[in-house]
Amino acid sequence: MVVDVKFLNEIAMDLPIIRPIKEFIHLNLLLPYQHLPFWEALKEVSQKLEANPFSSLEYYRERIKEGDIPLNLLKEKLGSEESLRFILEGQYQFVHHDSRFGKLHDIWNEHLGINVMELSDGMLIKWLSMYLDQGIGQWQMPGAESESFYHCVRNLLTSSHIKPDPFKKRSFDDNFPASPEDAIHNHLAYLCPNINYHQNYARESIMTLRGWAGLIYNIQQSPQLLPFKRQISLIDFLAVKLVLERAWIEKEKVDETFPSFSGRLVEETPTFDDETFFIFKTLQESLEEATYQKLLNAVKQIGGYTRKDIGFQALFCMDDRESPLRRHLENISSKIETFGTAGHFGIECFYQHPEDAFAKKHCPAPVPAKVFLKDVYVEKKSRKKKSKKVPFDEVQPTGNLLHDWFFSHLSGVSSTLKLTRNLFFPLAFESLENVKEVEPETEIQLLKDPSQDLSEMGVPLGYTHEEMASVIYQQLLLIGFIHHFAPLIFIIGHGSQSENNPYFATYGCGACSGRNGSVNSRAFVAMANSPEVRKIIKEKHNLVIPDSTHFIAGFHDTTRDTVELYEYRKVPTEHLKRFNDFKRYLSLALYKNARERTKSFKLVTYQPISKIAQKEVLRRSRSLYETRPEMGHTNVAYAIVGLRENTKGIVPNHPSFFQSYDPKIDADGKLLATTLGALIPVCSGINLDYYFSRVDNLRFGAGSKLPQNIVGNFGVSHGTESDLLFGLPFQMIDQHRALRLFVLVEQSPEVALMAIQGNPLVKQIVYNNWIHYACYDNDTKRIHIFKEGKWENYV
Amino acid sequence: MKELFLAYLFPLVTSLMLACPYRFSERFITRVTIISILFPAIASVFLLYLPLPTEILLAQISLSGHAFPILAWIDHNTLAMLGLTHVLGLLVAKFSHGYLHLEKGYQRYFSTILFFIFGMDILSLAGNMDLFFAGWEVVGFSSFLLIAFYRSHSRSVNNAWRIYNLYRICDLGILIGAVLGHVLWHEATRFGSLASIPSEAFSSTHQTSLTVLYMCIVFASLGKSAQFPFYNWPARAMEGPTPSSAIFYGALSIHAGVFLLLRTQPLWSHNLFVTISIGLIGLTTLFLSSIQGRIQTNIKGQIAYASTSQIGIMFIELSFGLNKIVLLHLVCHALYRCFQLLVSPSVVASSTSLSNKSIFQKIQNRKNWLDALPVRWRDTLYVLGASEFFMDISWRGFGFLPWQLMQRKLKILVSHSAIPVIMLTLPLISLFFDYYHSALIFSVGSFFFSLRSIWVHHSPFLAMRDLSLGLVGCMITVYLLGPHDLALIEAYMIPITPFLLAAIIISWIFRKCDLRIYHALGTAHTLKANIFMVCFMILAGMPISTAFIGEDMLLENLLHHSPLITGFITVCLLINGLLCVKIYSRLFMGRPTLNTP
Repeated sequence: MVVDVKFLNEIAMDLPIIRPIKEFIHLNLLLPYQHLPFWEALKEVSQKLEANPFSSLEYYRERIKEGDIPLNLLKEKLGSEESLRFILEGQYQFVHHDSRFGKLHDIWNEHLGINVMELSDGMLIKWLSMYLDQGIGQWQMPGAESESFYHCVRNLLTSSHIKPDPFKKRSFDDNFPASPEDAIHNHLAYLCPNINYHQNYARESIMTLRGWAGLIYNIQQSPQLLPFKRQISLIDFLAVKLVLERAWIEKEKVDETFPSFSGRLVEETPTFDDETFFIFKTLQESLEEATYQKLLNAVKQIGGYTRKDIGFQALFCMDDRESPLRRHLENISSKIETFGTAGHFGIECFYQHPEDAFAKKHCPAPVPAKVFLKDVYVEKKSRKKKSKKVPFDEVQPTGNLLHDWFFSHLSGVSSTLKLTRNLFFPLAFESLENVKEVEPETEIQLLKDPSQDLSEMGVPLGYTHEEMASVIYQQLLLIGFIHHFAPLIFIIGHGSQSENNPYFATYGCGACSGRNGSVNSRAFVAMANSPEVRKIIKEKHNLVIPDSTHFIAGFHDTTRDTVELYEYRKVPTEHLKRFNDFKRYLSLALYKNARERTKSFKLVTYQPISKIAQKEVLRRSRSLYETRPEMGHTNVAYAIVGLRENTKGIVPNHPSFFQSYDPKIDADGKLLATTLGALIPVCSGINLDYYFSRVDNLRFGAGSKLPQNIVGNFGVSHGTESDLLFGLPFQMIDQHRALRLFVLVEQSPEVALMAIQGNPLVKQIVYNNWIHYACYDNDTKRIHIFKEGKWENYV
Repeated sequence: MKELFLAYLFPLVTSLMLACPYRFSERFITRVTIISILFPAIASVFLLYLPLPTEILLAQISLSGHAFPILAWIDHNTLAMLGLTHVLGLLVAKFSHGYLHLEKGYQRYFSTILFFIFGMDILSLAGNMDLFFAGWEVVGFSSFLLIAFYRSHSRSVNNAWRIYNLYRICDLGILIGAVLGHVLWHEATRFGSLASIPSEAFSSTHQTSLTVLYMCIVFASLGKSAQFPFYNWPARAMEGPTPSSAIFYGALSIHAGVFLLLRTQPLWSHNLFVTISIGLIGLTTLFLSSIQGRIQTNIKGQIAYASTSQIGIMFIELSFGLNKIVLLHLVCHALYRCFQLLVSPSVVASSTSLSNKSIFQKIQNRKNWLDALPVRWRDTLYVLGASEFFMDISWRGFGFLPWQLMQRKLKILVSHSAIPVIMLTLPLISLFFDYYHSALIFSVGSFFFSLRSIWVHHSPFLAMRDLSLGLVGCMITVYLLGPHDLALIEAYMIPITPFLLAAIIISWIFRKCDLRIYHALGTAHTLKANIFMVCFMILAGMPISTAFIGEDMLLENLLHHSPLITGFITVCLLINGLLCVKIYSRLFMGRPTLNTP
C-alpha cells in the first residue's frame, strides 16, 4: 500500500505541532526540520509550504535607516553593488498564492464545477470537532468515548435512518468499508486513477487541513493531552476525508467520465530564487550580528564586581520578563543579590490542587516529571477564593431553552452592568498594593509516606528527605549559590493573569509548562527550610546553610506586576524588619518595572509616573477587551549564562534570559551541560516560536486574535468552520523583532564546547545554527563565537 | 422638535467621514465615534417627553411630482430599540477601541459600525414601510462589510456574500410589502395608522393583496431574524471581529425581524393563518436550532444557535399577541447575548475550570434527554443535527443552485448569441402588441438579462453589460406601462447613471478577471475599489442617494398597473445589488491564487 505509516510520518513533518491550547508550549515551529542547518531548513520549508522565512524588505530597509544594520557590514557580506542597490531601491513583495495543496483536487473541481475540497472539509471539520470535543458541546457524539474516529463516524451513519447529504443509502457500505485502511486504498484508486500520484493526492488531502491534522498527529503521539480520551490517528483522518471527497464527487457527477490524471504534475515555481534568498539571508544575518555586537561590546567593558554586605538574596526564574525586575531590585539597594534559574527550581513534578480534576506538569516540557505532589487544605473547611474571572456558566449557553429564557431575562441587564463596569471602571474594588502577603489555603504534601510505597501517574507520591536534599543541593550548585547565604532568601516563581484571553497559557512560566511557578517556589521553600533537609545537605554534600537563613516563597504576576509573598507568619521575628525592608524595595522595583513596561505599550503615549503605570498594567489584566495584556517574550534575543556579578551592569537592548552559573566550580562542564540541556531547547523554542510567527503570520502564526473562536475547548479557529489555528496570534508578535537567540556562556571555549557535546538535542540546535552560541572567558577576557563547528575569536 | 431628529444623521456623517482615504488616529476615531453615538442617544432621551405614541412628519421630499414623506413613528417599541442600539453601540465602541488596537482596518471598522447604528436608528424610528426598508438595507449591507472584514480571507468573503444573498432575497419580501402598502392605502404603509384601520378593512376587497402583504412581511423577518428555514446563517456570520459579531448577531441586527413583526402586529394579528404560521415557524426553529446548538462544539456557533432558538420563542410569544413580553425578552436577550459573545474567548480560561473538579464533573455528568431515545433514533437525530436538517440548502442554495441549473438545464440562456437575437426581436415583437403586453415582454427580457448577468458571466464587464441592458429593459417597461412620460424614469435614472457608468468603466478595466475566483485587487487598486463600492451602494438602493426614493416610486407606479410585471422588475433591481456585491467581492477581496492574471 502506498499510504502507510512511514508515509504518514513523513507528512507529519510538515504538520504544525499543535497541543490543546491550555497546554500551550513554545516550540520551534520547524521542530521536525531541526536536523537540517537553519538556512537549508528555511529554504526547504519555504518551498514546501509557500512560506516567507524573512521579514519584509521594507522592514530591513527601516532597520538600515535606523542604523541597526551598518551598511559597510552589509556591503562586505554581499560582495556586489547590485544586490545592495536591490536592497535599497528594489521592489520585492512575498505573495501567498494558496496554491500549493490542491493541484490534483483542482482537476476534479474543474471537471465537476464544484469545490470538492470546500464541501468535504466543511463536513469533516464538523465531525472532528464533535468527536474531539472537550466539554463545549452539550450533546456528546454517541460512541466518541469508546470508538476510534473512523468507526465512530461509520457506526453513527450506519445506525442513522437517514444518510446525510453526499451519502446514499444504497452505496453507503461501499463508501464506508469496515476498516480505514480499506477506505484509503479503495478511494485513492477511484479519486486518483494514476497510481504514481497517490501519495501526492493523499498529501494534498491532509495538508489542506494542516491545523487539524497537526493536532490529531499530536494526540496520536500523546493521548494524555486530552482530558476526555479519544482514539484518533492520521489514518482515520485521511480515511474519512477521502470517503467524503469520493461521496461528494459521486453525488455531483453527471456522467461516467473521469478527468485525466495522466499529465505530469506541474513543478512548483520556487518561492525564492537563489540570489534573492542569499540577499535576504545576508540581511537577516547582518541584522543579527549587528545586534549582538552591541551586547558583546557591553560585556567586554565589565569590570570586576565585588560582593559587599548582602542582606537579601532572591532567586527568580531566568525568564526575560524577570530580568528587568531583578535589575531594578539591584539598582535600588546594593544589599540585594539576585539569581536566575529555570522557574521550576529543580522540582520536576506533577502537581494537583485539591480542587483539580487532573494533575498538571510543573517542569519543562522535555523533562520527565519525577515526583507527584499533592496539595491539601490547611484546615479542612474549604475556603472559596473569590474569583473575578468570568464564570463558566455565564459564557456558555446551556442548550436548555427554558434555562436560557429565564437566564436572558435575569442576567440581561446585570451582564450589561458588569460589562459597563469592566469597560469604564476596570479597577473598581481592586487593591493597588503591589506586594501582598498571602496566607496559602493549602499545604503541599512533600514528604513521602515511608510506610507505603504510593505512586501516581507512574511517579512516586512525594519526596524522601534524601531526595529533597539532593534537589535543593543540585539547584543551588547549578547556579553557583553555595556560599554567602543571606539571612533572607526569596524564591520567586512567576505566572500571569489575564481576562478573555485564550492564549493565557503562553504568558505562564515556560519552565513550568506554561503554568504558575508559585507551586514550585512554595515546594522549594518548604524543603529548604526543613531542618532535616539542611542536616542531610550538611552531612552528605558538605554545604552549610546557616540556621539564621530563612527562605520565603513568592509569586510574581508578570502581567499585573504584583508579587505575592507566602507564609510570612513563619518569618522568624528577628528577620521581620528585614522582611519589611525587602517588601519596600520590591514594591519600588515593581513600580519601576511597570513603568518601564508601560513605555512599550503603544496605546500609552504619556510618560507615565509609577502609580499610573501600575494602574495601567493592572487594567490590562482585568479588561475584557485587552488583546495584549502583556508583551510576553516579545523581542527576546539573548540568553546569558554566567555569574550575575559580571553581567549586573548591562542593560541589554533586547530582553534576555539570565541564568546564574559559576564557571569556577565547574571545571569539567557538567553543571553547564545540565543547565544548557534545559535552557537551550526551551529558550530556543520560545525564540523560534516568536521568530516564525512573526516572519510569516499567515503560514506559521494564528492571524489576528479578534475573530477567533474557541473550538471544543482545545483549539481556536477563524469563524465557525475553519482549519485550526496554530502558532502565535498577530497581537502577540507585532512588536517583535525576529532574531535568532544568542546564547552567551561565561566559560572557557573548551569547556563550553564540551558542555554541548553530550546532549544530542542541544548539539543539533547549536551545530545547525538554530541559535548563536558564544562564550566569554573571564580569565583571558576574550569572547569566542561558535561558527560552523569551531570557535572564532571576536574582536 | 424636528431639528432633534437631525441628531440621528450624525452617525452617517461620521461614518462617511471615516470612509475617506485619509488616515485618522485611533484616539480620534474612537472619540468621534463615541460622540456621534452620544448625540442620537441624547436625542432619544428627549423623545421620552413626547406623548406616546406619536407620529411626526419630519420632511416631505418631492421628486418629479411624487411626494415621499419622511415619517417618524414613536412608541415604546421605538424607544426600547433606540435605547438598546445606543447603549450597546456605546459599549461596543468602547470595547472595540482597545480590542482593535493596531489592527489594520481600524478606521474601516468604526466607519461600518457607525453606518450600522445609522441604519438601526432609521429602522427604529421609521414611520412607514419605505423608510423602514431603507434602514433595513443599511443594516444588511453593513453586515456584509463586517462579515467580510478580513478581506483576504476567502471563506469570510464567501460567507459574507452568501449571507448578503440571503438578505437580499428576503428583502424582496419587504420591498414588495412596502409597495403593496402603497396600492392598498394609496400611501406608504404607515405604522401609525395600522392600529386605527377598521377591522372591516381586513375582511373586504383586498383579501389576497393583504395576505400577500403579510406573507411578505413574515418572509422578510425570517431572513433577518434567522428563523426556519433560514436559521443556519448566524453561525457562519461569526467571521468578523468578536465585538462586531456581538452587536450584529448577538444583539441588534438579529432582532430586527422581531422588531418588524412587532411594528406590523396590528396588521397581521387579524389573520389567523399568519398568526399560526408565525407560531409554527418559531416552534420549528426552536426545536431544530436547539438540537443543532447542543451539537455545536465551537462557542460562537453555540451562541448563534442559542440566539435563534430564543428568537423562536419570541416568535411564539408574538403569535400569542404577547407584545410587552416579546419586547422585554428582546431587550434582555440582546443585552445578554452581546455580553456572552464579547466574553466568549474566556471559555477556555474559565474552564481551566476543566481541570477544576466541579466543572469537570459537571461536564462529565451532563445528561441529555436526547440520549434517552432509542439508539437508532438518537443516532438519526444526531446525524440530522450535524447535517443541519438539510436546511443548509437554503444556505448554499441561493448563491449556487440557480447557477448550476442554468448551466445544465437552460443551455439557451448561456449561449452568447442569445443577446443580439433578443435585443432585435424584443422591440419587433412588441410592435405587434398593445402597451401592456409589450411591457410584459420587456420586463421578461430584462429579468432574463439580470439572471444572465449574475449567474452566467465570468467577466465583470459582460455581467455589467447585461445588467445595464436589463436596466434599460426595466426603464422601457416603466415607460410603456406608466403614464408615458419620463418623470419617473428621470427620478430613478438621473441619480444612478453616473455611478452606473463608473461601475461599467471599472468592470471594463478588469474585464479579463474571472469572476469565479477571488482576485484580491483591493490593496493594489484602492481607489477603484472605493469608487466601485459607492457605485454599488447606490445601485443597490441604499438611502444615500435619491435613487432610493425613485426606485420606490417606480415600483409603486408599476404595481398600480400589473403585479406580475412588478415582480419581474423587483427581482431585476434586487439582482443588480447582488451582482455588484459579487463583482466587488470577487475583484477586490479574497486571497489571490496563481491563476490571477
